[in-house]
Amino acid sequence: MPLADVNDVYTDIVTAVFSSTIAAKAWFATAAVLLALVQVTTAARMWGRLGFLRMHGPAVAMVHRWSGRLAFLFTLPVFFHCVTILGFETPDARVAVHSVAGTFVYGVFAAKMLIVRDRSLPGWALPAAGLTMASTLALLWLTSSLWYFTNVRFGF
Amino acid sequence: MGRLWKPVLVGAAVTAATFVLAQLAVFEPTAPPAATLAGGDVYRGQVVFERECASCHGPGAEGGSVGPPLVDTGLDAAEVAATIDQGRGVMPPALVAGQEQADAVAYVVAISQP
Repeated sequence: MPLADVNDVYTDIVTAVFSSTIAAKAWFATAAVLLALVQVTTAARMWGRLGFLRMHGPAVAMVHRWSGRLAFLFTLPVFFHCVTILGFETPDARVAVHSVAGTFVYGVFAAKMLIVRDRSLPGWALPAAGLTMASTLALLWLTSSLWYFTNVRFGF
Repeated sequence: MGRLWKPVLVGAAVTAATFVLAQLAVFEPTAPPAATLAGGDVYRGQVVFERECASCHGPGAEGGSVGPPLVDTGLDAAEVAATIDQGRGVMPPALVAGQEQADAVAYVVAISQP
């Protein structure tokens, strides 16, 4: 398949549901950020915080794992379009901040996934990695989806 | 503490790989010659179009209640720019100007190619 056709195929698939590729990314990113919020909440619960939440034990861990997996899946089409079709761009401050944060997001994710499996690391490492991950996603959402919803249109 | 270098190193490598991939933008489509001549950016133009034009021409310029469809109509850059400048029918003149106009022209020309 010629390289240029990949963009056309992706656009055809996405616009079968959404009005444009940009609208699709805005909603996928919103889903990922909402799931990241679930991630932060359940992680805090696992670390003994937010005692008012009724959930505890294995249920919290399961929700944490599955919200993470789903959030990762939602980021994949966004990553594909941003990185392989649009590329790194700096026409203005918003796009520059978005490009830099987007460049780091999977690096932070990879580091977090390694930290979560290594119990020999100091106790602050995992919460620090998790919060860095959630903050990076939030920054990406603020510089893309929020901008789209408030400056272009709030719709599919 | 000593083992923290490993996730940091892997994270840095993934970040670097992402940056290289983003620089290559391997699936970036080649803009049609007319769009390049218009001096606009197709992707920014899509955003401008959705903000300023889609309410009449419909999402993706496939036609709305007021504006006609623009997809597959074979418009050229000069024609699109003139319509934006002067307006047409109920379409007011100069809805967008400057770089935003160039971007919108690039987008419309790109999608109007049959």
